[in-house]
Amino acid sequence: MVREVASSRGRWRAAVEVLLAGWVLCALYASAASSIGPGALLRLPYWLTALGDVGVGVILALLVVELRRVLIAAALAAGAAAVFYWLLLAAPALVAPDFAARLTNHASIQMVPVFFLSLFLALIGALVGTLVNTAARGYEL
Amino acid sequence: MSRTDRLLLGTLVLVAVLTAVNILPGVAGWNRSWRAFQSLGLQLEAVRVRPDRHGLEVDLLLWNDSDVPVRVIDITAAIQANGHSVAAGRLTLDGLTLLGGERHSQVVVGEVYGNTQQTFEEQISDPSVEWTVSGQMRVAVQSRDEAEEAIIPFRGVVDGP
Repeated sequence: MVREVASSRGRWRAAVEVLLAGWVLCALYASAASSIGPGALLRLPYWLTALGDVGVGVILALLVVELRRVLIAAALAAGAAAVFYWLLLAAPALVAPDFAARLTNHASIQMVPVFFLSLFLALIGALVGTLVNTAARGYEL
Repeated sequence: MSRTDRLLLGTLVLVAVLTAVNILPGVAGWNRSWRAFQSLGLQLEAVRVRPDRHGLEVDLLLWNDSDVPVRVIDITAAIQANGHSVAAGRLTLDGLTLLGGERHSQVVVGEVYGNTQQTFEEQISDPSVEWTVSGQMRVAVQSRDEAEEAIIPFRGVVDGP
């Protein structure tokens, strides 16, 4: 059975999906990273964080279906993850602005690994999800 | 929205909430530590954790970013190896004062002490055992009449010979 790709999803739903996926990517990174991870309730090992990131990519692909949109959503989610992580780390600078420069520098540098790791792993997940979409769910791309 | 879509979105929301709850104490701790140091003008430059097959070294590099002297009152540390507590103790640094702009590297853990030392050393010298050392340091600092405490987590891994 071949089904048409449904792309009539609203902008709001697309934004919610991207922001939710971005938050999960950010929180998964944070629970393994050395800045926040040691204080977390459950410190994730790196491989579990990586697996979680791939899982986010799979869910995005299953939700969005159309490959071009999936790739864009994954890239936007990785960007959102980096911004969320910056906000988590730089929050104290908003309270003590005298030292904001040093702290926000640190937070900005941390955005780089968050973005690239999230993007790389979410894209792998997106491809796996697309495989499921075409092979098991009967979508034609 | 189809049933599958609802299920997928629901999963995403659930995971987002669970991961948020999970990191909340970590974020709070990170912010508290930074704020504590910042209000006194002290910066934590680095935490170095150097565990190897012979022992363990943890040290802190502190920098006084303010114009006024900052005194490090004491540092307490608790260390776990592979989840088991191996040492806990307090380091009194009565004389340590960082003048404005000064940097200082402080060795916090030079050797593992207490009655667990022998077992610990036997355990870590066995090259087939991979071990993870982790712990928390509580650093008390004072500037003028004001005193603050910051909690600094650390972690290191030894694998291979």
